[in-house]
Amino acid sequence: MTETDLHFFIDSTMSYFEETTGEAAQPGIPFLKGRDPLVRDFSGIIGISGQRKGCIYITASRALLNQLAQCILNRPTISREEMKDLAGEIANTIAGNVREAYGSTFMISVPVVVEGRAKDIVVPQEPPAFVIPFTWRDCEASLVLSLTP
Amino acid sequence: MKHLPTVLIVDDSRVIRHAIAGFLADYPVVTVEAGDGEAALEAYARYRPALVTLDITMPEMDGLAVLSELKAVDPDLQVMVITALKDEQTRRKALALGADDFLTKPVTAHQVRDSFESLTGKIGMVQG
Repeated sequence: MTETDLHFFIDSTMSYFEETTGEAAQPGIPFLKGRDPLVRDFSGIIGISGQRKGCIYITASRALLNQLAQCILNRPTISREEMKDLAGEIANTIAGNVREAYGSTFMISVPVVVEGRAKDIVVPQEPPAFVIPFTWRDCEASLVLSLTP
Repeated sequence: MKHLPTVLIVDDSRVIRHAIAGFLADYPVVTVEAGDGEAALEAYARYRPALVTLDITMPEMDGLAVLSELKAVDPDLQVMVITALKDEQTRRKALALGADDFLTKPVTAHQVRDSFESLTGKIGMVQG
């Protein structure tokens, strides 16, 4: 992962919230993922194949997904299944949008979504995984990137 | 009784299907939904929609394969691709297979309605 790679994903993530809700998300400082678990209420995982290999996942709180779904669906009541679905859709959109930079050889899977019962989402130790923390409406979330160079 | 035209919304995300249906709620159309490629082909055969909104990255059968099959049986069918895949190669491929418009996610209500009005205007479908 290079600094340029990180910027592609940060831009894609920030654009997602800005374009979807008109309200910008605030990126934090990226850091290397250690052994500590990094799982919030719902996580959407996308497998990457082709020229780059690995996975990306977004992990977000119920509060963030609930508010985001309210904006998208324009109604106050959001089901657990809809929050789960949205976690996968955010990951899909962020991963799909970075193909603008990487091209069609950056192949993405359909999303797999897990609820936060898992102790952690296992990513390979090599190459090191990067975490991009961000907040939207004061709700915290993270994008985790584990990709070959 | 006059039948309203049908719009088939194909996306593996239920939230996105419902959002798109909401964007089109003010038009005199009936919306039906499919969550994967095979379900899309079954829904097409059953409802004969005038317009399809079509995701690409889906389980079992992707949207480009669906697009190819739909256009083979109904070249005049209006297809609005709505995908997260924001690369030029995918856009070209979809248009070459007969997509009538190509929008990238995240889409706004304004983008979907503009495209809908443009595509339905071409075939003289009732406007809202």
